[in-house]
Amino acid sequence: MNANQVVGKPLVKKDAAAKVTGRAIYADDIFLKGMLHVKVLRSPHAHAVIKNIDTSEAEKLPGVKYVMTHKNAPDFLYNSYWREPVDSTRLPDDEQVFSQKMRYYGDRVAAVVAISEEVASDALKLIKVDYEVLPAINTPLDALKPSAVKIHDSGNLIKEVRWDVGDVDKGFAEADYIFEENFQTSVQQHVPLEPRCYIADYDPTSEKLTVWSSTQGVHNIRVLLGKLLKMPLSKIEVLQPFVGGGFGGKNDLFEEILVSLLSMRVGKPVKINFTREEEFVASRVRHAHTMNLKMGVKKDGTLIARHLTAFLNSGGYAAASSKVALTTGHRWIMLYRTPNIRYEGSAAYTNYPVAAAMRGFGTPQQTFATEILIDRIARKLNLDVLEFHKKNLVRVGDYDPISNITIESCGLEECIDVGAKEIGWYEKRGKKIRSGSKVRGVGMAVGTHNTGVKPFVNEISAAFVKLNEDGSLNVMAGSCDIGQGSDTMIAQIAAETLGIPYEKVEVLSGNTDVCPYDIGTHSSRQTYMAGNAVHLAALEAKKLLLENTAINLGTSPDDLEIREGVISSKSEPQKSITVGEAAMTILHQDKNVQIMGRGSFASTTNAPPFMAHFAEVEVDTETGEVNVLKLVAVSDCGTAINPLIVKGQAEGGLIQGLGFALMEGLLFDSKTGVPLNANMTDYFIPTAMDVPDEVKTFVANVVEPTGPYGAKGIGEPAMVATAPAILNAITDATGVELNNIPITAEKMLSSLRGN
Amino acid sequence: MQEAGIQFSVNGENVSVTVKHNETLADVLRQKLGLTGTKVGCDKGSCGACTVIMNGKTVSSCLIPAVKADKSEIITIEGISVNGELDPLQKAFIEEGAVQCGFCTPGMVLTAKALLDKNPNPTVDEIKKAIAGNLCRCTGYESIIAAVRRAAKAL
Repeated sequence: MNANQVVGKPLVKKDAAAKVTGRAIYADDIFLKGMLHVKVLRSPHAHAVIKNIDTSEAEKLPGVKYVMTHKNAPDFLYNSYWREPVDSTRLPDDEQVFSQKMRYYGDRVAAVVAISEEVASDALKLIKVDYEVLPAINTPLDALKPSAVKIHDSGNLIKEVRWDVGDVDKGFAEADYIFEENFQTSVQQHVPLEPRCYIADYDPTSEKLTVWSSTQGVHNIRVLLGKLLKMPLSKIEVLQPFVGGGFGGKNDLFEEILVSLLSMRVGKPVKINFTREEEFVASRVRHAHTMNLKMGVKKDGTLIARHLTAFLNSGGYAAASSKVALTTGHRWIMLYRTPNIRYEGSAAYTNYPVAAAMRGFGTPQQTFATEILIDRIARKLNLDVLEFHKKNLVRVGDYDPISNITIESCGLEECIDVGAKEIGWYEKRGKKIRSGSKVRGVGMAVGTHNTGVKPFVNEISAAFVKLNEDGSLNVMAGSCDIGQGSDTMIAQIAAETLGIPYEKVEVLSGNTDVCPYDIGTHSSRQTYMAGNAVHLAALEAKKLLLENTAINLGTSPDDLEIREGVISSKSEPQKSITVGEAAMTILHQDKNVQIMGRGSFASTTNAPPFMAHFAEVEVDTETGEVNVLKLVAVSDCGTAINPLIVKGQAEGGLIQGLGFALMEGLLFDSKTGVPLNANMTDYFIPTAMDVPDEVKTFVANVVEPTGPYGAKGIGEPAMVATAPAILNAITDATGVELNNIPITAEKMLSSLRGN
Repeated sequence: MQEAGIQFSVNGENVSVTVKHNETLADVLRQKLGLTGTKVGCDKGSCGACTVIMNGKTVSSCLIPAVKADKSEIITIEGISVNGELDPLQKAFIEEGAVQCGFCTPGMVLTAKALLDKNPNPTVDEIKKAIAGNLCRCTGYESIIAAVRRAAKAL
C-alpha cells in the first residue's frame, strides 16, 4: 500500500509537454549570433599514420575561418572518461584532439571552421592527406598475439582483471558435470535518435567558456575541460539542453574540447553537429565480448565452480574499457552462489570504433553467456531451469566479495515466479507447438547490474533546494536528465519530502554554474543517488521551515507536519498555515531567512537491482525468421518512484534487448576494418513492426532500505537479460543451440540446417 | 549556388523564403523559419524524426528539396496544438508515458495524426504499420501505440 502522496504515483513527466509540442530545445536547435560551423575530416582507414597533410587550399576557400590539424592543435594526452586524479592511475591517457596516428575509421584528421556547414564540408574536400596504411586489427585475440602490430606504444593490452574466489580447479575436480562453451556478442551501437551536437562560446573579456553539450554528465565535461585548458572551473559553464537519448554513448568528453579550442582561436561561438555516420563510428560502441564460460555442477544442480574468460574489443582508444572489464567480472561473480569462481577479463585495443559505456556496461554480454549455458545445463541434466536458478541465485543477506557489500534487498524469486506465470511457462516449455513450418518455444533469463558505481568509482550526488515566498520550490540538481525522467523523479521526491504538491516543484539540472556536483547519468544511479541527495536537501529545508513556523504557531517543530502544502499542528490541527504564507512571513518578517536546503549524498553501498525476462518465440523453420510473440519483464528496482517511467524503461529495455538478440551489430570489412553498415538503413534497430504482440512488465514488491523511498536503479538492468531469454526460447522451439548474436534469419536458417 | 524564392504555407501562415537548390525542407524549417520542432536524425530519410505533413501526406522533410515546397501546405509539430491547447494526440502521448527523450516525438505525433485523420479507429497492426518508419530508441513503442489508441478513443 502506498502511503505516499507523490512518490509511487504515475505522474506525467515535467518535460513531456515541451517535447510533444516541439518547444524542447536540443543542442542543434541553438543558434547564437555570429556562430560558425565545424566539420571534421575523419580517417577513411582503420589504422594509418598521417605522413603529410596540406590544408592550404581549404584555408583559402571563401567562408573558411580556421583549419586545425595535429600541426597546430595542442598535443596533450587525455582519457575522455577522466574525472578525478586517481583516474590517471586506472584509465590510460591515450587520446589526443588530433593524433598523427589514426586508430579507427573516423578518427579525427582535421577540423574546418566556416560560415556554414556547407562551406566547411566543401573545405574538407580540399584537404590533402597522405596516409601510410597499417594492418587493421579487428579482434582482441588478434590484438593480443605477440606478432600483432602495436596500436598504441604501450602495447595492445589495456587492462587485465583476474579475480579468484575459493579454488576453482579444486571446484571443477569436485563437480559431477562440467559444461564449457564459447560465446560471442556483437558491436552494438547506441543509435540515439539525436546525433550529438556541441557548441562552445569563449568570451575573452570575461575569460569565460560556455559549452552546450548533448552530454550525460555536465560536471564530467567541465572538470576535464578545466584540466586540459588549464582554466578554473568557475570560468567554465557546461549546459545540457534536452538530450535525444544517450544509453551511455554520451558520457565521455567528445568534441567539446575541439569546439572550445576553436572558439578560443576564432573568437566566435562554434558548433559541431554530428552526422549519423559520425554518430555510429566516431562516438562510442558496445564492447563485443569473446567469452569462454565453464561451469561445474553437482548432480543435484548446485553450482560448485565457474570460470569466465572474457576478451573485450575496446577499439582504438581505451576510454572506460578497464571499468567495463571490471564490471563484467563483478556482476558475473556476484549473482550466483558458488564457492569456487575465477574471472579473467582482458580489454584490448583494436582498430574498431571506441567501445565504452553502453546500457549494461559489460553485464548484458556476460549475462548472455551465463544464462544460455545455464539453460543448456538444465536441459542436459533434465533439471527444472527455474528451480536451478532459485537454488543458485543470491539472496538477501548474501555478501558480494568484490564490492564488499551485503545484499539488503532481492526479489529474484518473485521475479521468476511472476514471469513464469505470465508467460505460461509450464504449459509451453518443451511443447514445441507447431503451426505449419513454424514452431514455438519459451525461454528465460535473469540478470542484475548496478545502482551506482561503487566500488569502482567514488559515488556522489548533490542538490540544492530553495523555497520561494509563495510556497513553490526550485530544485537545482547535479544530475542530468537524458530522457529517462530524472528531473521528474527528483520533483516527486522533493515534493513528497517537503509535503507540497508536485505541481509546485520545478527542477533545474544540467548546469554546472548553478547545480552542485554529480558524477553523471550512467550506472542506473540517478534515482538512488540524486534522489537521496534531493531528499536530504528537502529535509534540511523542511527543518528550517518547521523551526521557524513552530515559533509563529506557538508550538514545537516535532508537533508539526506538512501535507499538500499546509503546515499544521498534530496536537491542535486548527493551528495551521500554508507553506506559502509561512515562507513569505519567514522571509520578509521575523528573522528574514531564505528557506533552503543542501544535500550531498555519498553512497556506502551498491544495492543491485535484479530482473527476470521471459520470451515466447515462433521460429519459421523454412525462412529462419524468428518472431517474438511475447516478452515479459519482472523487475526488482525497489520502489517505483514513478511507475509510468519505470514501465517505460522496462519496455524500452526489452525492445533494445530484442534488437541486441536478433538484429543489431556493426559489421566490418575483415581485411581493412572499415565499417560496412554505419547508417540507419543497414544497421537495424527495432521498429514498431518488430514489437511482439504482447509486452508485459511488472515490478516486484521490494523495498531497498538504503534507497530514497526504497528505490533502486532500472535503466540498464532493463535490457540485461532479454537476449539470452530470446535465444533460450529459440532453443526450446527448435533444439538448435546458439552461441552468438545477432540471430538474423540467415543465421537461424543456417543453424537449423546444421551449419 | 543558385537560389530561388518560394512561397508556401506553414501551420496556416504564408511564408516567403529564398532557398538554395541543395537545401532541404528540413533545413529551411529549422534554420530559416525557426521551427526547430522538426528534428534531423539521419538526414537520409531512414529514421522519420523529420516527418512533417506536406499537402496532407507525411513526408521525410530531410529528403524534400526546399524548392519542392513551393506552393505547398506544410504542417509541423508546432502547428498541432491550437492556441496553446494540446491536441488529444499530444495529451495521450503525455498521459501514456510515450515521451522519453522526445527526439522522435514530433515526427511520431505527426505520423499518428495523419493516420487518425484518415483512419479514426485503427487496429494495433494498422498503428504499427503507420509508425513503422518512425524509429524510437527509448520507449519500445508500447506506450506510443497505447497513446494512439487512447487518442482514437477520445476523438
